[in-house]
Amino acid sequence: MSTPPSTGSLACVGIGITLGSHISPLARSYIEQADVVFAGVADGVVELWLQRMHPDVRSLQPLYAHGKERGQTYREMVDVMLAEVRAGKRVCGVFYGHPGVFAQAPHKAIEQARLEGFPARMEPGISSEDCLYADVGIDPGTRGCQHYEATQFMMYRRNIDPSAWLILWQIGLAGDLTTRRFATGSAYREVLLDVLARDYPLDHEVIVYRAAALPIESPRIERMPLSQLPQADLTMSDTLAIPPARRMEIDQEVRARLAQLDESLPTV
Amino acid sequence: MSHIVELLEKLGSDATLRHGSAEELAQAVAKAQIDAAVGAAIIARSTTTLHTLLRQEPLFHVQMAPLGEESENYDFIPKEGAVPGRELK
Ligand SMILES: C[S@@+](CC[C@H](N)C(=O)[O-])C[C@H]1O[C@@H](n2cnc3c(N)ncnc32)[C@H](O)[C@@H]1O
Repeated sequence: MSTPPSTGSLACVGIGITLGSHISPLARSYIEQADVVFAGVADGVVELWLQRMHPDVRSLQPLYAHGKERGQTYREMVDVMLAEVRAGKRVCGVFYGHPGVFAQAPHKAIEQARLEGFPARMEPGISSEDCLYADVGIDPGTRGCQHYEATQFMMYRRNIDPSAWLILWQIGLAGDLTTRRFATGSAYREVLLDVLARDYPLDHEVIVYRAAALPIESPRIERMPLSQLPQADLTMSDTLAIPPARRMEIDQEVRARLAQLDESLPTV
Repeated sequence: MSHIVELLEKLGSDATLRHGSAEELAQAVAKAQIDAAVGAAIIARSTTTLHTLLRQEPLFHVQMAPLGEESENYDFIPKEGAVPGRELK
């Protein structure tokens, strides 16, 4: 199939979490029709898989380094993708999971490309969040669901609702204010524990979750009391899911108003 | 190498194989023309061994820094037709 001549464009697509399972037909088509593909994926074998879809796949891995500010890494990701867009190439940025979920560079790159007048779009992918719902059997609609980046959650006082689910992302790096590390340890998680203890009992059961990146793996679904969190073995792939710890508070006043409305309206 | 990735893609995309039995996995491995050690790692479902055999190091995949009130897009809420960044002075 022939593709139109390039004048510079950007698509950021998600490749999903599990190799072979989650890529959408549209994401694959963007990859195949691109002039150059950039890869921000979580597993080297996934990168090998991507290389089979396109002859020019450039890994974004070399932009990371221990001790380097992550914000700088993300700016460089934007720069390398935009340089090719400006050179008139059809660029596809491929990111694991969903490219716009807890991921800075894809949003920023699309914003920048549009500001400069280039067509740019994001196509969703299957996120680790989606896998969490399926593997653990959570429906975010049953009690509501709050999502926070773990360190940001610690840096600010948030009004969390312990009658809903609470999901903390990047839990393995919780408390890293330097943004130069890829893991923190138990001392940092002790602080997080104190923050969570404002709303949750220490024996409340929490779930460490990791979805399968390769189709030979099983998901990690490890339950433990909240008090064990500092000692847990956590990586940059893990997510913490905290089930509701309280019943939902009934709003009698609003219920009464709604009931009154029902009474005053003609029945259909 | 391409046969290995092809097999993994099949394991990921085939409804029988994705959550198949040990025998089904072993049969799929036997059919693929791959190195015996790699096949054994796949049958053992050992990502660590597979990564070693394929010389794959763990990848960095943190994609966000905790954003605070100093971040550029702190106040940005997308509106119809809006481009993030343009909203801000
Ligand atoms: C920078 S975010 C990127 C998320 C990605 N864009 C997505 O859609 O899943 C990284 C965080 O996502 C979560 N994550 C990434 N891979 C995961 C996996 N395989 N299982 C569970 N959570 C994962 C973890 O909380 C991790 O610290």
